[in-house]
Amino acid sequence: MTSSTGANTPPSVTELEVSVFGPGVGESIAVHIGGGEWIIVDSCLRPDGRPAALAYLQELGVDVSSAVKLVIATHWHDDHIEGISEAYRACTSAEFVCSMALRGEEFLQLVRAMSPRSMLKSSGLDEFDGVIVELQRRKVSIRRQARGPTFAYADRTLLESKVPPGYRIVALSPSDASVALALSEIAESLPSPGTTKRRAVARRPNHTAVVIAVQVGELAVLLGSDLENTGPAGTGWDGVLSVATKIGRAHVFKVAHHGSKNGHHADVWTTLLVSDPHSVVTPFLSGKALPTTQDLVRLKKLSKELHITSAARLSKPKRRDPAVERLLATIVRRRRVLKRSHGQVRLRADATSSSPVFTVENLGTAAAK
Amino acid sequence: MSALASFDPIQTPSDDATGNPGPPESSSGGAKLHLARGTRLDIDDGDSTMSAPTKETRESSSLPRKSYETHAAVEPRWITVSPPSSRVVVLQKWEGIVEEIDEAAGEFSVVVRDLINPDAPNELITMSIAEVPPPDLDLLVPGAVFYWSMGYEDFLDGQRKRSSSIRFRRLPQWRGAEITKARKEAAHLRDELDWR
Repeated sequence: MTSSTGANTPPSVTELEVSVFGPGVGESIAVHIGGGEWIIVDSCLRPDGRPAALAYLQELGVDVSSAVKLVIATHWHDDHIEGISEAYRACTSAEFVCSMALRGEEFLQLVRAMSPRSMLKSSGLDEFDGVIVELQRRKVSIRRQARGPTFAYADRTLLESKVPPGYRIVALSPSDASVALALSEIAESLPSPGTTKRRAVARRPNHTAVVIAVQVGELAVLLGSDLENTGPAGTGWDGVLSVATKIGRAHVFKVAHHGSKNGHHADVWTTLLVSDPHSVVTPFLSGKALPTTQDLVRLKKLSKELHITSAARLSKPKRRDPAVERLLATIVRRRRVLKRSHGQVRLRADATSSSPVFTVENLGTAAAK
Repeated sequence: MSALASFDPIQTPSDDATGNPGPPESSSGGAKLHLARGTRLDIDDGDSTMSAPTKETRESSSLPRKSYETHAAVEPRWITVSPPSSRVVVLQKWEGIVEEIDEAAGEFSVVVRDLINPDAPNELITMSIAEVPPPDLDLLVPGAVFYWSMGYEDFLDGQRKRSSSIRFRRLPQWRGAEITKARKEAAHLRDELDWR
């Protein structure tokens, strides 16, 4: 269904809204959980450099200082976390949620060692450093809020309300087994004396990712983060599927890990989602670009209503001096421009209806596939 | 002689292919200085590049100067002082960060930022690992920062070649004190923010 409302018209109090932003490299989600309350999951930047979800809510006229209840960092990959410290600073009454896998003191050591003063550019950890500064500020200035982040793990309810239409937000990962693996990897990432400094890079596969289920009234949403099939028993999607979380089958799926084959688990589609759900993919147009054509074919078979936040394929690089171009042609195997676009898929439906009709709007570079 | 001329390794006359005790012809066009034992050699100390000062540079330079007594053996020694063999005209410079290394395919992917045109969007580039200078191969890891320049190299004999130069940033090593500091800060944050 095409756009029927103005881009800056807020949802009604009983409407569920899921807005997925994906500029090509990056991902962020804003969910209206009813009654004018919102959550933000992950963060990426718009072409103007502002955090996408935060800027969108402000353009809707939402008072983010009171309306945003949770700011969730599902993991610390650069493409999921850019701008999250700015979003958290603006959402002054929101709780900050991150993965249980980051709970250990080792992660704090990594953040402090790799902080901006260490000469190492590391946007994921820099953003966490910014969040920690804000947590410290709140502890001093808001005495009653003398608490740190909320740690998400499998089957933990993060937020709940019985006020109609009512909502419940539950983490479905990481599992205990994933947390153990992630903690071990973080400890191994810590620098040791005499080793050369280098930028911290999150390891693959991702054992940290927080998958979120959101139930609003009669509707449910599954936000797959970057969770993959990670191999060891009880980790990744196997870990999620082994937990019998009492939440409805989701009508909307933010497809995991940019639609990659490794992020796909057939049982997710048969046990956690309604048949033929609305699906949204955020592309990752860096490294090995995702989703691939085969990924889109697979997803389209499972979801007729498949949308992608940035349909603009990579544009051609700017031509430079002919001598430079000739040299590039002899050296470079592949070359693509990483230009941010502004793409947003917005889905809305009345959360009080058991037969929901979703309005889907593709804004900016977003498109139906 | 150029003030930026560099010193070639010391050669004794017997090392010289000509066997000629006098200054041999240099194929690179460099001159050789005959330094007897105890000769004092003045070297400008204002640049990390060791340079052989000319009369002009000695007179015009206000940089501090040190005197070094040569430690030549009994036999006189020859030092070759070569002018730069080429000049590089830079047309393009990038700063890159290594994203991914695919050893099976022998290639790596980098995101490069244009340092000549800062408004240009970043590019994702994949190239062969063979493009990395061998001394820098150990530095090729995800997250490593490098500088890449392209342009012309003009040689003294009038030849011009296109050139591409990749050099990885050499970061210092972690010091024990830095790690101890991070550990203490982490312990403090853990207690302050109940991060546990």
